[in-house]
Amino acid sequence: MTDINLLHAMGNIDPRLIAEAAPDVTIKKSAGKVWLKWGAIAAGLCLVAAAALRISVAFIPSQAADPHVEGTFEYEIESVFDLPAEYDGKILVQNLDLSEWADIDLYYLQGGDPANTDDWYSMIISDSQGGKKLVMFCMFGDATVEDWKAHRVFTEKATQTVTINGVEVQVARNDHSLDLQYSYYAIFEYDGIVYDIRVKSDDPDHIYGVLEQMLKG
Amino acid sequence: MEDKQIVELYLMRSEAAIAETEKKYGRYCRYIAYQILYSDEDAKEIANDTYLKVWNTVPPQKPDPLKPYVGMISRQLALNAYEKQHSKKQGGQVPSVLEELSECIPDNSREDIGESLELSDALSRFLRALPKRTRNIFVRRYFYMSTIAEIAGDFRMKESNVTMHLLRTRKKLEQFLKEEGFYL
Repeated sequence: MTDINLLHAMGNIDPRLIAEAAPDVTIKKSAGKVWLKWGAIAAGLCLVAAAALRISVAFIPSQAADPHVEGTFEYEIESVFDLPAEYDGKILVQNLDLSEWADIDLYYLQGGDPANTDDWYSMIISDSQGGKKLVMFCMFGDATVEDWKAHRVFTEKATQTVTINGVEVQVARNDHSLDLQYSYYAIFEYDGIVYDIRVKSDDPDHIYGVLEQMLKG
Repeated sequence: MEDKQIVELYLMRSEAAIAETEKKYGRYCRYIAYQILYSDEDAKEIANDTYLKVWNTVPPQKPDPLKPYVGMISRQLALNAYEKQHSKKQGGQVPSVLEELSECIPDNSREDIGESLELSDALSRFLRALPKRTRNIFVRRYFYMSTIAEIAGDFRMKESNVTMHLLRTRKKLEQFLKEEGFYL
């Protein structure tokens, strides 16, 4: 055994011991209302955009931009619903009453000019409503349902196509779930926006309940 | 975002997983790599390589929690880069950490029993038996390769006390490894 053996062996100790001793590398933030520094978030995403693009044809944003504010900007919001509502009043997530459902992940894509990177940006926001967590991945770019499906894994054999209030929706069960999270997901296009919803529940009624709420018109 | 949610994104092959990993653990990865390589640029590169390594290993791996998994990958990649560069000239904590760890190894140690898994398991058992503070100081030094000054600051100790603390723990480790049969 050598000192280098020991050094490498330290790299494979119990992960809980590694986590327990982890240095605090976070940047301290002041408490208060939810501040979302979109410029910083977009910049962070830009750092990894190159890596991500190497592994898939993605709708990853390459540059921060916003239709309302020039340059870096901040939003102060009380609810996770506020910002999509401000961006576009037609965001269906406003119809949701999360207290009725399990935790939800929602992706949505909104059209833009894919050739113009200034039109592209992404935001990831999370909040709780009624004790339930909603995480939204909002990716702005030129995408269709088919693009999005091709872009990520979609278990065709488990897919059901249903029509809810005139909107065609594809619902699938996720067989790769951890602890039954994200067990069902749905993809549909509505008013030029592609929605991708994942509901952390093993009960299919939940995903259909969410869809009914979102698409109630 | 919770670790399990990020892992779920990897399982779904969503590139948002990489963005979320960078967002949550980017600084953590760069810290670990920097302690070994002492280069901001190399640390960024190791961090990016870490995300790709996680992407390529999840699935089949389903790390829970994700943080130490990411940290272990960053550390190994940085050590590999260090060894490749033979970068003792460039500084970093590796030379001094190696020198300190050599004290735990008697002259008559067997060369063939340094199998990392067996040794790692023994190290884990040794560390779990230590008081939490002592354990964390040891892991900060020999996993994260934090400087003595930084450990002293984080644990509100004098640097000399940290050095002494580590020396005593290394002595205990040497004795423990002997008792565990790692030495003939």
